Amino acid sequence: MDRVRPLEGKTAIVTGASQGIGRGIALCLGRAGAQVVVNYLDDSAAASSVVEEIERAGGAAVAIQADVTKRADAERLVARTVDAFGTIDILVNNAGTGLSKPFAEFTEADWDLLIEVDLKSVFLCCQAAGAVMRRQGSGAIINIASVAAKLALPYRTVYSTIKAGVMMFTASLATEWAPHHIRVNCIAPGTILTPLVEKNFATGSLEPDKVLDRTPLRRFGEPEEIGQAVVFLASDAAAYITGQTLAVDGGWSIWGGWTPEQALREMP
Amino acid sequence: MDDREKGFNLTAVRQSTVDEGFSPLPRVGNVLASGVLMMRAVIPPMKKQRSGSIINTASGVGIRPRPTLAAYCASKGGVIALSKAAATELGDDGIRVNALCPGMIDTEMTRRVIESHPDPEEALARMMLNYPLGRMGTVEEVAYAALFLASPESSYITGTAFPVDGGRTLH
Repeated sequence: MDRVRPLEGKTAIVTGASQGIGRGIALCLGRAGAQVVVNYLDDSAAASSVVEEIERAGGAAVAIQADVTKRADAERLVARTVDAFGTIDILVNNAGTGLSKPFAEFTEADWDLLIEVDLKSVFLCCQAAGAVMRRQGSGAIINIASVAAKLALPYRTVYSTIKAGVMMFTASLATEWAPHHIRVNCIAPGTILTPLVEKNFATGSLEPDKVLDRTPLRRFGEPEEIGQAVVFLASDAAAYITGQTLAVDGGWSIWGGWTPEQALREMP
Repeated sequence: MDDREKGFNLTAVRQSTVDEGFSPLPRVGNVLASGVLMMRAVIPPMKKQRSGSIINTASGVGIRPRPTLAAYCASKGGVIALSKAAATELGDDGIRVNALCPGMIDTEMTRRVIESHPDPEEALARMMLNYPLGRMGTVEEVAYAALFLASPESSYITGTAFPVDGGRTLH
């Protein structure tokens, strides 16, 4: 296997790839040799700039608009990918949204939005792309969950529940589609520096210092650090890995909450 | 296999927690002590350069234990917890610590275990029922995971228990 371009000749769809983590994933996949479908909802200019950046680096990419919470759109996304590149080898379910607020104030519309964007889109895209992968007898699916899928945090009751759903969806589908040689894995990012997170810092709904206090590596992640993990899981290097949720979180999810100095100081 | 080799090669020790003679201490202690000593040796230079990646080999049984291998399961669960504890202490110095958790890998040792069954082919088929991918892993597949964890490609990954097990620990 080529370690520099392990995905040469493969075709990948990344949902929600016009910005943030999705953009980082698309760039890494392009660099690894994959032909990349940059899916976006409404920002065609941002999606085009991701395509251009991949092409400038010598890769191949197209932008395809689709609202992946709609079955017809998900199916059109898959059909147009096959038209453009002839196959689908990799599906990255990245499109998603977050919402933090007191549970008592959560509306039914909030619930429906999160369920549709964070979970139903995964269901629809896996069925649509999975049909192609099952025919060809191979494929790799990577879902993006969150550190909140495994850790309980206040004001994220609904978000955490749904992301935990993505984790279990991953594991269950992995057992079901293993006989078709389709691997299904998940990544649980910690706090990654994206426009969304920077907005949350600005509005005060996320406090940078508090996050860093809980992160053993003491820094935020970069979108391309998620992209590199996606490349690994999508490649043949991970041919024996399926159903797993890989934490790419600087150690957040194993943290006891104390810095080593605090822990020493506060020892009985 | 002499006693010394047995001390490290815990798969050879078939014991359950309720066996009267069962004492996990010497064997589990050996595995953890060797991990601690090795880490202690490499941490100072890693701290000096403010970067490093430590990979401890645990096992899927540290996540999903199985019967009759109590000491082995305990030692591998210990390696996972040890790795996580070290990761929380060393993150500030830019040192990452992860635990590799292989499933059944096609090695000489595994082959010896399979061949020791009266009907090796049937035994292997039965073992593979627990593996969604339906096969043993290769040595290279474990090595690729180690390479990934050693490389800057995993620069934001620390403290994980990293299964390379064809899905064995899923169910």
